[in-house]
Amino acid sequence: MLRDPRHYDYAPYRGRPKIRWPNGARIAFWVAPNIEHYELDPPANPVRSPWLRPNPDVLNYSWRDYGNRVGFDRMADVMARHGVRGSVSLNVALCDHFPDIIARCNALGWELFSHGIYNTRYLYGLSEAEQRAAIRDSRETIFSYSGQSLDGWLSPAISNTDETQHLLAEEGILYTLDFMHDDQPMPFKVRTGRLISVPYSLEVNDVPLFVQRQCAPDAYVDILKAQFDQLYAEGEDNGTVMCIPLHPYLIGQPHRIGALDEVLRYITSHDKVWLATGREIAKWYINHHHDEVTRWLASINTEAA
Amino acid sequence: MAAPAGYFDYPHRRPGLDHDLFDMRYLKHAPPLAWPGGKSIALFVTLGLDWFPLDMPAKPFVPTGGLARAYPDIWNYSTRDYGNRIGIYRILQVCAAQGVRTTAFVQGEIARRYPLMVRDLMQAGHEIAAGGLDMGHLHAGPLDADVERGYITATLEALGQVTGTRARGWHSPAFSQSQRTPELLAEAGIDYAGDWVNDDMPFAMRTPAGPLIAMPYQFERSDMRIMFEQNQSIEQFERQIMAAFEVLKAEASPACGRIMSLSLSPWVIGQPYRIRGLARLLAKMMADPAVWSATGTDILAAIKLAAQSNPSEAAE
Repeated sequence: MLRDPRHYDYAPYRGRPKIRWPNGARIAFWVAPNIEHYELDPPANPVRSPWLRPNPDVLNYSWRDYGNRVGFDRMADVMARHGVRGSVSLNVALCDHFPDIIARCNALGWELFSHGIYNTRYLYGLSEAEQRAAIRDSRETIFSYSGQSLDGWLSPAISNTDETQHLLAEEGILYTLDFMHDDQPMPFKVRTGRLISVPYSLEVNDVPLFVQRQCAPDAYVDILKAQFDQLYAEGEDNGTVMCIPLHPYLIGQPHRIGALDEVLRYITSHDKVWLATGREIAKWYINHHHDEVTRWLASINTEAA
Repeated sequence: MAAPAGYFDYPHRRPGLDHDLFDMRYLKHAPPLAWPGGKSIALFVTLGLDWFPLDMPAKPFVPTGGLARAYPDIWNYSTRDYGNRIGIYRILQVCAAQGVRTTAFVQGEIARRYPLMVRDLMQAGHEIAAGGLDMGHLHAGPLDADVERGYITATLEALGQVTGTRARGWHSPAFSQSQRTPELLAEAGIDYAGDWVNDDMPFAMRTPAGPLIAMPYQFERSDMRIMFEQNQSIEQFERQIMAAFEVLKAEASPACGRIMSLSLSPWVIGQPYRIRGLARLLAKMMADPAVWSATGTDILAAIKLAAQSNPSEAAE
């Protein structure tokens, strides 16, 4: 077991090279709907049990299925109304199960990236070859249903092995979302190739907020507005990233969808907000900032040692 | 079913406490401490600069914020580490704006890994105290004395390497002590420890290696307790902190000051959606003429002064 992930250097939040987003934007704002499928009868995993109750776990299965049947369109309507595109954290098997959902994502100009094959298949305990196969399956499936390249990755249930991030880089993924250590993209250290992290969020993610922290929708609105206000203010000096991860089975519920509407109205009412996708943020960062930040990291960490 | 033998023996049933670590003392009988400049409230802001290793053991227990998911729990690892990269710098900015000097309980592994941050804290005038080695090295239960002594020595050395001085204050990871911790801390030259949450004012612990001051470092109204464990909002946190402040202020006078402990963890309060709550709190409290921003060492100096002027009533 490793004592630390060894993927990133220390970067104090002061004196950093300035991130400048397109058109003088202070903040790169992106929304990541997790469009997921949980299998009714998944295989057992040695590390994590997919369902809490014995199969079939009807309440938990159907709660999530609601997201695909009902919540997705409701959520997509609200996002479209505010001109906000999604960057879909996609269980890629969903392309085969529900191509209508993928067709609508394509029609809306959304990005698709991989969140594994199913949300009931984890990376825990997988060999390098097996993880590589899941990455390649993701790439081929996304390409065949959308014509898009696979550029981003969020591991299902944030399951990882020590090799996962290295394999992502080797398979040509541009950005990982598995690490919550920063509010700016960061270079990642991998054994070959290049990888960056792009800020996702577990703090303002609807699963932790509604399921684990028992937030009411109005508290959710307060948290997201406050999150935006602070990152927007800081972005005047040095560009920041704010991600709102969504799950249609939670935010697409009729008692909560208004909260998303209010948050998106609030954020899009500001100027100097770049309404971006994960891929756009990653490419901009790689093209304009990656090398400068890498040099800075080397210099401050050498100086510290 | 019957009780095991000895279940109805009460060997420590007597007036006072059931141990000899310190004496029972009602707050109303605490020796009065006067703060400098006629202030009645010492605002004692403490920062827990903790490092949670990826290979954190599940024994003796998983502390709050610990890596409770399967290895490698990068979810929790990186969320805690966010505090050390980003959250702490937001706190530093808010404290600088209000002239607040904190006591930072820095873990040894933080000093080894992030000396830049420790130097930034020092340069901004904060006290660097010791927070144990890391969250994977808990002082608990039957820890061997030499092993525990080793934890303390290694922590103080790691901090000293960066600060060039010796830390006077100590906070054990996750507020956990073994039976011997106070003694070993006193033996290591530590003057005060913030681990026992049983008082609003300092008191002296007796150890075979000499006295150790127990400093009020509160957990029950910490950001970790209220917003992480209890899932309450930043607005609810602010209301409770101000309620505590008002009560302590009403109990305090220039001749008999009180300590307002505000315990913060950068990975909790340093999140973008919470940090403005801290800014509002510090602005309100620092605008009150009764408030003195004090570090643990500042409070210790006031205790020594009181002891000199009135030896019979001092905290020792």
